[in-house]
Amino acid sequence: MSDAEPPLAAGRTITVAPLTRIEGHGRITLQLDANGRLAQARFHVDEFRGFESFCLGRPYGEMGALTARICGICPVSHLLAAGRAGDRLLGAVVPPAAQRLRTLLNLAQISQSHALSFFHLSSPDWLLGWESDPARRNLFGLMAADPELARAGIRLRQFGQELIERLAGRRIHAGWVVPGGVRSGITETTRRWILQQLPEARASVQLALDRFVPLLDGPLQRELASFGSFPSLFLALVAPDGHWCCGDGSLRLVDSLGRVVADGLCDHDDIAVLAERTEDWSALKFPYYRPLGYPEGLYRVGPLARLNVCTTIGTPWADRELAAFRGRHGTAASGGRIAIASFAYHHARLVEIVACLEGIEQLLVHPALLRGPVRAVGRGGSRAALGVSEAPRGTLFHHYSVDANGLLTGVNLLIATGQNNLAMNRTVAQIAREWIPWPLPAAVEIAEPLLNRLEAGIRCFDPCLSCSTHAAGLMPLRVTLLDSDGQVLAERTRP
Amino acid sequence: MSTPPGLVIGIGNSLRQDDGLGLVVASQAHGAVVRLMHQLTPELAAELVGVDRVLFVDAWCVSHWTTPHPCLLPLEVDGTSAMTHQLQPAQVLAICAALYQHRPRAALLLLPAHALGHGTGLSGAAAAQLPRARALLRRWLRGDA
Repeated sequence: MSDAEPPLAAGRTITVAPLTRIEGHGRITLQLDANGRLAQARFHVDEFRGFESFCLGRPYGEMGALTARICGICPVSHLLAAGRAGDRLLGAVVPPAAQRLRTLLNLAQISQSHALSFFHLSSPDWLLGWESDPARRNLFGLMAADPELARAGIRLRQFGQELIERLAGRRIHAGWVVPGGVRSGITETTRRWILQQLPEARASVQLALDRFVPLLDGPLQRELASFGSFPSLFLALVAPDGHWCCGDGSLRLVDSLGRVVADGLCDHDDIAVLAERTEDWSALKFPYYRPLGYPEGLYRVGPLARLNVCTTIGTPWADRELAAFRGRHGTAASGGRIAIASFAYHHARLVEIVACLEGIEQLLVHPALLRGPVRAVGRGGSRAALGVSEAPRGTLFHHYSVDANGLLTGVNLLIATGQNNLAMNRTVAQIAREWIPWPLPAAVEIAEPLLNRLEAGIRCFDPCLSCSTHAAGLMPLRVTLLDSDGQVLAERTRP
Repeated sequence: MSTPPGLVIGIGNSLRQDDGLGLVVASQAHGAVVRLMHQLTPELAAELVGVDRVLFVDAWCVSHWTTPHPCLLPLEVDGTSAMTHQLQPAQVLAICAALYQHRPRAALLLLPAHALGHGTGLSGAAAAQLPRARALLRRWLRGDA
């Protein structure tokens, strides 16, 4: 007779809840089958706020200010999406200077949000180790282990936030983007201040690349291979020439071989190719690409998708980093073009910060930034419109319908984190299969390295549950292990 | 003669009634540099570099108090771990000390909050405490605290 623990007779479930170092409150449940092997992994989101309902009846011009309140991390994304939907409802052609200013605001937001995700939320995992004390696996632990990197992260985030404040008047919830343009232009003083800050910001992201990328060849290899590495579709905005785009662009969907599956998706105020499925075990919807059905229509958005969808970025340093990114993560099946590992989201964020910093400089030295009007008069628009922006976490859609008085009769918000929901669930399952020893011993324990890796799999996507469920931002995590009868075998909670 | 005014940081949400008290009081710190914030984040530590003295002004639920009056308290660094989206003042000081080797003299003006529901106005009980809160603020600005 073997000394090994016998497998459990019935199926069991592991729940990880609440999830930490993400925006919002999540829970992971791992359901075992009768043989003690993983039958199902679910990432649950339990919160609900209902912006799509209580915004009904409000004037569409208020939507930027209202929906920006969904989140304190990326209010700019909601401002931009609401503004763009408002442009179309108003029938306004946004002046070139305002277009550039909106893009400048978005690049600043993506920089500061990616800095938060990479430096503050995720880097403690690989700098301090998956097995390290969770009480120290945070910014304070990072400060002790690598103060230079901690300072770089703080300064990079400060740069992005201060740029937003100088441009829009407030760091968060600035109602600066309005239908038809923006409320005010940029001053020469602000333009010069931003240019002065760029060298330090560049040095900060270079430091992060120098610290992180070598780890991918060593201690992080197994995570890279097992944290959500699978073929899927990728969705993002691209510029007319196919370049990386965080301003006005056109939606493109590519597959994991790099083939364009669909192009120009939002050009007609219609995203009917994207459908949403609800499940009774999560408040977060499950968007999918309708032609492929559910769940085969799984697609990913965000930094990884943007780098996969674009042809190039269009600025020199970022294009070098993109080439290095594709050289490292691009699959052989795609000719080195497409990265399918969700762990590469972290690397993609650093490449995007480079792109943002170069994009900011390009905008600032363009003479049109300081010239001409920044707000257009409406010429009569439509009763329904779609506004799209590339948020730090991925593509954000606001779709509005209005009555003859401009009061909202329909609101649909399709959020980046929601669009990654299927991918996050699949990632959790892949991590569980890789890192949980099967069959489980009779005395089940959810050990810290497993708990942390399950959380970290979700953190690859830098999810914002506040946005995606339009819910309040608490950040706890719970993991539960259940048998096939629904009996709790083990549970671990992190406050 | 020293020049006491430094940095005054008001913390709160003006859309949640008395939670906005810190913002109301801090905005009256004439002569000082004033920052109004929803919550404290790590980047604030970098702003403390070069600041000699800092006052955090925040509202706290009155049920958590032993006294229902505004209090001016000295602040020390607290390097215990925390989530990075929302810090306590002592943790911001700890980040500043650890990363920049700078420890400004710090104080906390705590204001009792009686109502934290949705709304932009202060409760009557909170508004009644404003004269005392202003007096404590003036005391700090004079360098007496």
